[in-house]
Amino acid sequence: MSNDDKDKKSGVSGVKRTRKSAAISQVDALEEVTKVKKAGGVSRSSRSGLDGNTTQKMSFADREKLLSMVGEEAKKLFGKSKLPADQQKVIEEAVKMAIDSALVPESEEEVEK
Amino acid sequence: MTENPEEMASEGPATEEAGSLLSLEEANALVEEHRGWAESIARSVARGWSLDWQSEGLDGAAMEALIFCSRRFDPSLGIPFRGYARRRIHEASTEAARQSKGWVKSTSSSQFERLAKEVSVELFELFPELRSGALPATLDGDGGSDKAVRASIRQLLVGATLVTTRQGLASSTPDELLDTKKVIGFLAFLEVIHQIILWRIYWDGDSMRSIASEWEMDELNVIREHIALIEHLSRAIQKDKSFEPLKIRPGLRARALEMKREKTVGPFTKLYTDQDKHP
Repeated sequence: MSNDDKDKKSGVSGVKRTRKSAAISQVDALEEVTKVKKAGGVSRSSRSGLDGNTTQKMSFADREKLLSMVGEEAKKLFGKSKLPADQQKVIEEAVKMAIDSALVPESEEEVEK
Repeated sequence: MTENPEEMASEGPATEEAGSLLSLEEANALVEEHRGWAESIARSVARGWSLDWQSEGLDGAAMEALIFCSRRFDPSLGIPFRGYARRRIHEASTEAARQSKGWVKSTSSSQFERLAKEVSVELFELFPELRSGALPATLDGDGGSDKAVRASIRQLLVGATLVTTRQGLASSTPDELLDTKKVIGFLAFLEVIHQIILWRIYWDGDSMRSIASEWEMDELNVIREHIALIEHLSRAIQKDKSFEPLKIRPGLRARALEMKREKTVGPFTKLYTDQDKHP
């Protein structure tokens, strides 16, 4: 089979003229390197927790619920424990004191609720 | 330290060494703006410890800390003033509370209250996020969900258990020593590295940062391990039996292997063994 015949079979229409490649024009100058600017401050900082979990902000409005939870969790924790009752009482009271003294109303409205 | 704005003005301008970019007038304006809030912190500390916030001097301590913070506050850092100042004001109020006459009472019915107060102060050292009004982080659970809040509370309860155990060891009565020996028994079953972490935090008062720094690792490794340990202890206390030691997380395994090679003895193992020899 002639080459022309082969081309006809494969659908080759013809060989186009090669295009002239453009000459490399001037390389653009690098932009000026600007002075390092002061970094913006962190607008909101929440303590980065572990595996994406943050520390949990307590709300004064939840005060009664939180203190009640301490009692419930202490009961679950020490239910079968042979820790002396006095020690258990000190532990529960200490945690309640710590939480209570850390709960601060952010506004007067929160206090009045 | 004064509460009067006119007197505050006479204290001199904020200095550059203090790092504040506020003028004295701006700093004083901050004090006036947040005065009520600082008083709220003092009142909360007093409430938690059944003290009078004014007669016990917590109000003055809070104001002093507020003024101190106003002089050093740099707004260009983008941190809100309350976020910056709260911990400092809470610390100052706590310290004033501990120095107050109402802190220590002589009646036997207050003995329990005095012990609970001492333990709660230690909880602020162990879980400093409390001073910012936040509960400790947990390893799992959605932050803020009921489950996560309860897990955080359990951490505080176990932390307080360890503190009272250490305090109990200092006690001289045989009954109390017997009870604390049971808790020491739990702790003696832990891996050596875990025993060392707990000993250094709860007995020696080291920070997790200093432990991580000494071990040349990221502080998060120690923080995560501590949380896992506390949750493990919580289950042990609940079931009132010791069980297989907690697996060491990857971040600390190399260090743990090193301890095994060096045949390091866990401090609670040593303590438990010593107590057996000398009951």
